[in-house]
Amino acid sequence: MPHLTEDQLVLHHYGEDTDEEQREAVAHLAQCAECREGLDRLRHVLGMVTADSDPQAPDGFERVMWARLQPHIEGSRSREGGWASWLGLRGPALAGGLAALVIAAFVAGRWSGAPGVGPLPEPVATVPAGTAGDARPEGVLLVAMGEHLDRSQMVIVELLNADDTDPASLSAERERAADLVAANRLIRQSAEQAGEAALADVLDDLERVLIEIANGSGDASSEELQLLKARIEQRGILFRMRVVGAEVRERERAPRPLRAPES
Amino acid sequence: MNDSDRTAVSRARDGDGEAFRWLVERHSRYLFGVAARLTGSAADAEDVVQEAWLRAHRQLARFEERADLRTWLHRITVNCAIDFIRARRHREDAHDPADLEQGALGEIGANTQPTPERLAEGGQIQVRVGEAMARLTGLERAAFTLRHLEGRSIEEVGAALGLKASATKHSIFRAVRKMRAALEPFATGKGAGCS
Ligand SMILES: [Zn+2]
Repeated sequence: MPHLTEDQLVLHHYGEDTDEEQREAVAHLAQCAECREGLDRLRHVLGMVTADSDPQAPDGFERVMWARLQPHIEGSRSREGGWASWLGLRGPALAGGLAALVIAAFVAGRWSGAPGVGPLPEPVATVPAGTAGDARPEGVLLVAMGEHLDRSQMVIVELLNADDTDPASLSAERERAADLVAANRLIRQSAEQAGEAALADVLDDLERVLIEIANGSGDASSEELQLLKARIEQRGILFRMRVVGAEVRERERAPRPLRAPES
Repeated sequence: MNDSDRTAVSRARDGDGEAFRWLVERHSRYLFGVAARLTGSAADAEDVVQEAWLRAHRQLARFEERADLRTWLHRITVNCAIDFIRARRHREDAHDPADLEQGALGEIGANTQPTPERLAEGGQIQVRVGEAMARLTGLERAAFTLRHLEGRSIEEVGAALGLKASATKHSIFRAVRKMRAALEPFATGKGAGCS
């Protein structure tokens, strides 16, 4: 009988050879040192592949997963305040600081999308600070933040799915990213000032990504963009944005106090 | 199943969302690993784990208390991942196979880069394994993982992935060849030719 092929050894290792093949393999292995060594080597390498090499979840994955699940789980809202408590947000600080800055950005016309990106939420954009619109400032903030996260996500998704063979495939994304950087900075700074570490953290990561895209060559095949893609994956940026974005949307639909005043 | 799990499951069955939250926070990290090694993408793994939890929540009443919770969740997650991979295959089939190869490449590789923790733990081999897995196509990874880590027979793997036996075998053979090519240089000790 000729030597066992690698595929035969694989089937034998997994016990997936037929009874007859198995008898033949066992008989051959008993008298062939070369094939025995081949099987040993195969088993040694396959033995390296264990659950220990499973990819690691991004930091905070458990909490993020719960934030995604919570809207679907009955009874989960009885003691928790939804996304606001998840982010550790405190109503007045957030509503005041963040909303004021976001509104200022609108008024100053700095929060503008690139041409063709789509209309801004106009009713929100025209609410000036310090007027009746302040009755629900967090609503303004939420709409603005939701829009910003959506736009940023689109840019990142385009980047991740970009055609690696087309050097110009990301030129439009570069422009869009450049437009989003300023708005992102405003929201991030406000989040930091309001002591919202979790939110600021996501926005900080997002800002770095946007800046890199904006300053990049726009060539999806370039090493810099490959590294950037890897970092986006590693930090779970898109995922965290999706979670925050989903929670923002939910809050827009069902406005309620961010958190009961603490006694 | 330990007492904490048992208590939480019992409460979650009675509609206690906080108890379910406790389970989610306790087991999600493990389930991510299960999902990610099958899908090869962190983002896909997140979607899979979410779906797995939703299924688990719906089926909580049917969970047999004497069974091991993590084993039960593991099985649900694998099934969700299989559904996900099959659904994606229909989309990928419409594309150039080269895209498929590319799409499966590297995504999770970022997660298996040598982090300080892994290197400190002497996890060099695990890092190499992660990189090698990242280089498999989606189908190769799924077939190989189901056979090698989940212990499913080739027949079961084929049925799960909607493949004929010969195609299942060839996916596994290709995966093993790629894993060997990537890992043999790092193999030590018996049978590897270096120590
Ligand atoms: Zn032989």
